[in-house]
Amino acid sequence: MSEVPPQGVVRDETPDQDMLTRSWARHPGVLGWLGQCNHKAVGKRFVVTAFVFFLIGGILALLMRVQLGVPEAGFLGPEAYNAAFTMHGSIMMFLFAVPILEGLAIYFVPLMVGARDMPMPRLNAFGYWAYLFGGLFLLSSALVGAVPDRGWFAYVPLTGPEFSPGDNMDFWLLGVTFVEISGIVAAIEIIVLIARFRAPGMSLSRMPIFAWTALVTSLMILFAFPPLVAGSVMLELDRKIGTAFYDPALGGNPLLWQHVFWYFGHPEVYIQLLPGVGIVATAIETATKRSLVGRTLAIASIVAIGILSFGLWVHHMFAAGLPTLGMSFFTAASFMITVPTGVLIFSFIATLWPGGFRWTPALLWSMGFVVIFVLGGITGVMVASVPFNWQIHDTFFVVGHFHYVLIGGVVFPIFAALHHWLPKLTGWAFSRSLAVWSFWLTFIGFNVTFFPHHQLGFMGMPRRVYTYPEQFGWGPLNLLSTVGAFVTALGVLLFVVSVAMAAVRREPAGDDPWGGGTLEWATTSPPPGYNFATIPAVRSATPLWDTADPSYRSGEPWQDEYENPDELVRVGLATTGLDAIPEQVVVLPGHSLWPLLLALFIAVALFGLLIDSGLIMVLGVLACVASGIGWLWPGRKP
Amino acid sequence: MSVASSRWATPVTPGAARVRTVGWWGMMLGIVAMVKFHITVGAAYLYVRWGHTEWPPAGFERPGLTPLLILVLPIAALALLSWARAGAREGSAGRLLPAVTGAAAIGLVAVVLRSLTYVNAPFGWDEHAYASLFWLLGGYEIIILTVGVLFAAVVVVQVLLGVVNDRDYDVLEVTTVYWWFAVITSAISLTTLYLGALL
Repeated sequence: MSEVPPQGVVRDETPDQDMLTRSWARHPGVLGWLGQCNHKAVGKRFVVTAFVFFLIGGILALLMRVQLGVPEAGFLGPEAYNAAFTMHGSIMMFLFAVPILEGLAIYFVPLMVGARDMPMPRLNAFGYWAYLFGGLFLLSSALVGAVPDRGWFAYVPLTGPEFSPGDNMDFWLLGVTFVEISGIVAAIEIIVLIARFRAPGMSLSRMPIFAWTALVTSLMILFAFPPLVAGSVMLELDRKIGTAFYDPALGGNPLLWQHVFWYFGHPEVYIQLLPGVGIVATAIETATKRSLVGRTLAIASIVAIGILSFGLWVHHMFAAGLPTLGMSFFTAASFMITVPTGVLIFSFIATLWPGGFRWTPALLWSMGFVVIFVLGGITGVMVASVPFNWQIHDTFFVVGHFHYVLIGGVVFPIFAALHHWLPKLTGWAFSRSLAVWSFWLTFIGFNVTFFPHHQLGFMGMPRRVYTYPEQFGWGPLNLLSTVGAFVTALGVLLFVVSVAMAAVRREPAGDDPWGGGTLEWATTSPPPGYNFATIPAVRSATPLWDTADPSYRSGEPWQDEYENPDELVRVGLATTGLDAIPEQVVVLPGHSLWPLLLALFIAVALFGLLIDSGLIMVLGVLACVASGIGWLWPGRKP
Repeated sequence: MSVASSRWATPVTPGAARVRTVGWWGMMLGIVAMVKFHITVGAAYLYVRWGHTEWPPAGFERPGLTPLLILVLPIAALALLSWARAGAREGSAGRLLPAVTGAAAIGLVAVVLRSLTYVNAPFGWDEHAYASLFWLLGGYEIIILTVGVLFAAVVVVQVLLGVVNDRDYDVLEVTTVYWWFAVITSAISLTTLYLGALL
């Protein structure tokens, strides 16, 4: 096949769309709903579930801000405050940010690369169920009054058996480990999807930026999440059976946890940031109708950030008494990552520079990203410097810094993505005025909330304290911060209202409301089960700006099998890794309850471990083995 | 795991019959994640080890090298699986049952022998970080081998039922790839625990 695939030559045969619809329809009833494995069902579930967790985490933040609004307040006691900040951080980091970005990738990357589904749909479904059960496992701690309360970072020895004797941290360790496994599974899916399921002609250089960020992020997850799983397993073993990995009295080392945790934790920041970069690039390209300025350099920067992010973890440990040479290295590496980040920011600005673009809601939120994230990045360079770091360590300055990075770098792009892609996902049009109001309230509220944190840090206010005396003079800025938090919450609430109104009105959005150039806009809103009746062909990074009908029309025999497969057989096309040349027609599994059952039985086994019931644990493990065998059992030959 | 061995994939060009299936890619990436887990535990072992001047610490016997011989067993299981796979690729189903059954049996013996080295260990996991790491690294290895035995056992049943044969044998390909990983895991764990203790 040539590098420029044939397009637009109409063949005699046309796809049997009724049959495709039947083949890709979900099974009827509740079991049919539960057994869905299609990427759109799974992606939507990830997004909705993560957003619910976001609202819960946000409510916890408001409770903390109420407590800190005035000196010596009695709204939350110290124990409740500890639980609130632990769960707020854990929910936002583990249950919201990464999962919602994975959900967006699972829903939209197959559409963007012209695929019909993920390459391993059942594994994809398992990823969601593992995430859901892991999240519920963590939150169920509230039902038994054992909410984790030692911080989202779970430092030992505070979280070891001596200082956390209850079940609180067991809920955290087991729940988070389960969620991390879900993340690894989703990452594997996305890598294989991008490596093998791209539409003909979509060489790596023609891949959308969001797909690039999804690929780099998934590779990072593959290398960053297993260390946290390993660290959590070791800590849980210390707690449950008395091993001594972190116990210095028995030759262990508590700093080992910090190394393992931050080896995961620092890349985690970029695992959340890079998809945000991809979303912002997409919004800017769509609004300006121009390819990103310096696109290749921007992609190289994304890859560079992914690699460099693994060399920064020690800058979270500057106060831990490490050798000076080591700290100098990690300071230098932390400074180095500003270079590719700067390239990306300048690329965004240069693309917008000629003007003449439409202020879409997604672009508005993207500009919020640029402003806030740059401020967070600058304070990041400050805290990467050891002497400065020692001065502000464990103060509110750090709280201000990382909220500028994470809300600016992650939450604002997520809202940009929701405004950009919800019309495609739902088929509904959304109110522009509500989107604009929602943005400005959130933007102003955010800055009013978190900018004072920097000043509070300089004034010496420590993190993780539930109250403070009046004479320290921290009251006015804290009150301002609390007011800002409620303004931010109002902005988020307006977004929820906007979604509810769109759902009631059901005004059609149209297939391509923004005039996008990538393939997700080539199909209907919402897309049909099979995404594309005829596989698209790609000649540039923005195929829809080249032609309105990018259908691949070569007349090769496999195309008939792809467009008119046997009844109820779901087929996809695998292509070569670099140049996306058609290689194999693949039969994809559809409905299956095995992923749900496997995730459920893992949760049962973890519950047995939690309550020290060997019987329940063994039964859970045996049921897992049975489910795994059932899952892998060869099905009916097509 | 080539397209030719899979019932779920059809090559669109004659040359594509030899390329890897998407399942192979999934399996390899899953193995990468497990290797990263293993590397982290190994790095933890070294991190704790370099914090001690004496290793194993005082009061702990230096382990002998005899358990290293157990490594021969997973290698033998892998050789049998590879032999069965080569037969299937050549269109001969005759080797499938004896070879995969033999691999499962040998794998099971390896699991039992490795478990015995733990049952007979002269220390408990809660006595020292050295002991904890010894148990974790070896325990992980035993779990990996056990899963490999389960894989092989499932293939044996599928061969008996006729769903795996010389035309459809992608599950055998998966199992063979997995056993490569199991052998390497076993080699690294045994080397770290028994040869590493001599450093």
